[in-house]
Amino acid sequence: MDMEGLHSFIAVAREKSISKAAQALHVTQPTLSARLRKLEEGLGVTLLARSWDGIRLTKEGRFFLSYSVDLFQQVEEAAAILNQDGGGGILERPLEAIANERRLRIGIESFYYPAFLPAIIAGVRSVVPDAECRFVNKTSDLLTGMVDCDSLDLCLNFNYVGDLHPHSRLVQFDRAVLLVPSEGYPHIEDDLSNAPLLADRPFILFDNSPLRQYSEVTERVFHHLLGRVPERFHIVNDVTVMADMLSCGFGYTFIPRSSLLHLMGGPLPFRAIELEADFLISPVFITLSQTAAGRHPIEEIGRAITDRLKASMEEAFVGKEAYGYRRKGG
Amino acid sequence: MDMEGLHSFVAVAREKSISRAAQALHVTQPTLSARLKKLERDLGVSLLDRSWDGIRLTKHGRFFLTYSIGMFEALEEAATLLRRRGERTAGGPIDAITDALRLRVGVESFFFPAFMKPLVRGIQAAVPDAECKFVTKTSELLLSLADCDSLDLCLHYTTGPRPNLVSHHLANDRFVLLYPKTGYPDIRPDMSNAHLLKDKRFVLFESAPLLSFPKVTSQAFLKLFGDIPDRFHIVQDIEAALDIVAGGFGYTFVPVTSIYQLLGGPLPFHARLMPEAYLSLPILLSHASAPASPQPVAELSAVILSALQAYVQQIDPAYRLA
Repeated sequence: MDMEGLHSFIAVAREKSISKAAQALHVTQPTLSARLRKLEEGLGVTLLARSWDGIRLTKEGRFFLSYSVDLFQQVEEAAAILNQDGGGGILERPLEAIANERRLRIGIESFYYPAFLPAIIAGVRSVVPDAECRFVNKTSDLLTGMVDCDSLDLCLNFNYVGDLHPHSRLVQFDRAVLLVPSEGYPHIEDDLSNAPLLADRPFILFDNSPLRQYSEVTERVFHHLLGRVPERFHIVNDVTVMADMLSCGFGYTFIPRSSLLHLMGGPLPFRAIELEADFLISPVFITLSQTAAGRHPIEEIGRAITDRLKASMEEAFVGKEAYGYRRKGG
Repeated sequence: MDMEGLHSFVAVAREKSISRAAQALHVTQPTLSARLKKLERDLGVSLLDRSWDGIRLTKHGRFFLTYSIGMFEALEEAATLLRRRGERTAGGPIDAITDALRLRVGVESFFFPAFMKPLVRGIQAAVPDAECKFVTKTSELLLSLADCDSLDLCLHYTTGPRPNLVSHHLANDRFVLLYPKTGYPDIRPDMSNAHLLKDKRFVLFESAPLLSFPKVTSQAFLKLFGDIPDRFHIVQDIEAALDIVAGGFGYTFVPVTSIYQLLGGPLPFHARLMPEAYLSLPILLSHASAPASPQPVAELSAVILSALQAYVQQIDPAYRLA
């Protein structure tokens, strides 16, 4: 696959016509068609439906479109930033700062990100108060990939499928929790026996990466909880957006309870009920780079973060019935 | 640029050797080298330092590595999900994501925590049964998505003319200076002693916001300090920036809408609204001029706009931060 293919596909989606897209890109129609075919062959799916009255995106095409726009934009962005730096040097300090290997670089799984940041910052400060840091918010797969390329010193990650990274260590086990709006929704019993009442409400689903990582787990939970896979969904790409939707009474969902850590200091803006523990839910792991030791007291930093997270996760969910949090078994 | 180039670059960064990377990718060394050269040519910078004792990433290479890993992973993800879709006949979560009947709303990542609730309430009032998709990304990306009909509505900063879209002005954003409550000097509202912050660590946003660094951020630094600072924490998003300042670890300036959601109670840091001369950035609500969605997008946009206007008026940051 190449950028020309992506660019061509985006142009067709925007112009809704092969000929107009070809014009916009200053290429001939056969060239454009060849690029599109190459893209479709590379992916093994049909992205465009060609009919007598024009061209339409298939379902697969609509799905792939948001990826294409995102990828294309990232390439443009990276090239623009690198070129700006080439001329004049005004980006010298920020780029130097970002690329600097002496910086302490910490990755946090997107699901944990708002929940874990305060404890991570406190842990880092306790060991290296003068450190300059870089915090990266991505999916677990990507973060462990970055540790392998020496582009992160440590990361907090989960692991649903495949082998555990050889340098990942357990921080704490986790639980799944069902989150339901406090108002405008049926009152779900603590034993979840009437959870199927939720089945015709919209379920808040995380798109893309989480879906790839644990779609099977999600479906198992659906069957256990509701007896079927729901048909109505809201789609989000962020835990904070999810929490806002819940507090507005717009949908329900389930997530790892550790994602709620930062909200447990007061009453929750929704109800949270723990699910059975024997569901496949990944523990929280910390993964340390093996090459970071020359630059940072990485073991000590890892331990400080682990201790803080472990302590807050152990106590955060105990005795919080008054805040709207129900533990399994009362 | 192509994916082979990205893949090759990521492999070299991981293996720290051209020959091992070539082995891992099952290609010859000359093939791998040619791909890397092409990637460097396309980007116009050198990514790798080739010396007698091995290969190292240049500054530009280290910067670009995050992008490469992200893009490569995104592509794998898209391909995997498309393949899984192909294997299934029934509906369910993967189908739901591609469903165009959903109301698709994009919100700029700097201010989504502030605007999400009024936005959701506006949608609930207008179309209570709608199923929605919310996307929080940079304005540039949201507008590109809206431009090719992949979003119905978006709330964004202005970024050039978009003939396919109808836009309504919501408010003008400006910078607010945020610094910890302890261990920091008190900064006067007119910024006249802001230079006292210069040796502290500034929380800097990487990726897209860097594009406006020469025009906006660096100008603000010059006004505040007469120079660009050189101690930084680097973050990707606003939530990390706020947590760092609240944790006493650094200071920053951000668009004031980024803290609207916190203005109802005591703030976890000091906040000084900066004069409009530092930044005055329009926030717009936009939708397609000829929406393809079955949702009544234009009507919905009017309802949401008035809900958001009411929210913005009620916040009044100049009053609350005085």
